[in-house]
Amino acid sequence: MDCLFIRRNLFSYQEHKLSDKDTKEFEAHLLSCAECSRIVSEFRSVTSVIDLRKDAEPNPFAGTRIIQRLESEMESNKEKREPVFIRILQPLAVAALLVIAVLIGYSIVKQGNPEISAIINHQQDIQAIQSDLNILDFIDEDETFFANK
Amino acid sequence: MTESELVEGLINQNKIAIQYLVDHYQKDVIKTAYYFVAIMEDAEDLSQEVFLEVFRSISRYKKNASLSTWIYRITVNKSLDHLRRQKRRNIFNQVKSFIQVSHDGTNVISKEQPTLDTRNEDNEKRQILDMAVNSLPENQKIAFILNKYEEMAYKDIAEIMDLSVSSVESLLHRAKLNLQKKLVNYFSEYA
Repeated sequence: MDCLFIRRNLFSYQEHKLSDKDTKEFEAHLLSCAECSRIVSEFRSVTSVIDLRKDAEPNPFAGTRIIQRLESEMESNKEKREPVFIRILQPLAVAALLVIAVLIGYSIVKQGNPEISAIINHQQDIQAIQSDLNILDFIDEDETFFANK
Repeated sequence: MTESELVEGLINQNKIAIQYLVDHYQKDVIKTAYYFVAIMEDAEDLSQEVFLEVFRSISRYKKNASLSTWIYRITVNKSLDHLRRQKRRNIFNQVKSFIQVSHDGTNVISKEQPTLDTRNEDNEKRQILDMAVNSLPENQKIAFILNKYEEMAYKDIAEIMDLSVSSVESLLHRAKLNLQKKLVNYFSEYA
């Protein structure tokens, strides 16, 4: 058995996949070849890291973080599903509320403040008198017109 | 909860189904990602991306493969994407530091080669093994990691990689030959 066979069968030797005969020859070669013996030892040492890595444990809170991320994804999905309400209905509702508030305010002011009510009533009286006068003027004009005839 | 109930629950964004999914698969997902990327924090971040992907594309999940196989596939793909990004970043950083070095006139790039003589031994061994595994072609790397780290059967690896069992056997054989060659060269060079 030569060094090349050793170097090409490091995994097979480690995984006990060589035949009994090859295993015996492999081990006999190691006893007689210092360089191959060193390489086999280094190989075993480096590949032992695989087992070390298997023992690593994740952070116990990793699952909580994943859930939080998924929940925030669900929230953003909900927001995406309600654009009609957010973009159209909500501003309309706010505008309607404002109009209602103005109307309510106006009627409260009108009923609650006597001075303003008096002014408004006074203005209404003036308007009524003015319209009466306009009608009288019109009648006068008609009478003059017929008299002249 | 059966697999189809779980899938149905996830499609309906049921919180119990989400909790079950995470409880049931998080450890496997994180560990698989960790075997690829070698840093636990990165693996945990990647696991979030994996579960997000599962959650977003569950309606496209076809039941011709088991849910766990599908999740493994997503995990492997996300891990490989991460490694590719990392590689690009490393190249960019090397170019950047080379340009800086050219301006300074002093060479600060030392191609760090881990040696077994310096005895922060586990770390050194990890670096050597990762260097060798990461230099394998992608398919060989996936087959090797799933077989040696995850201890998966050839049949399961074949399902995840969407290959025949004989193709997986061949990939693994070549992966081991390549790794042996790289490691022996390394041991001979840095003896």
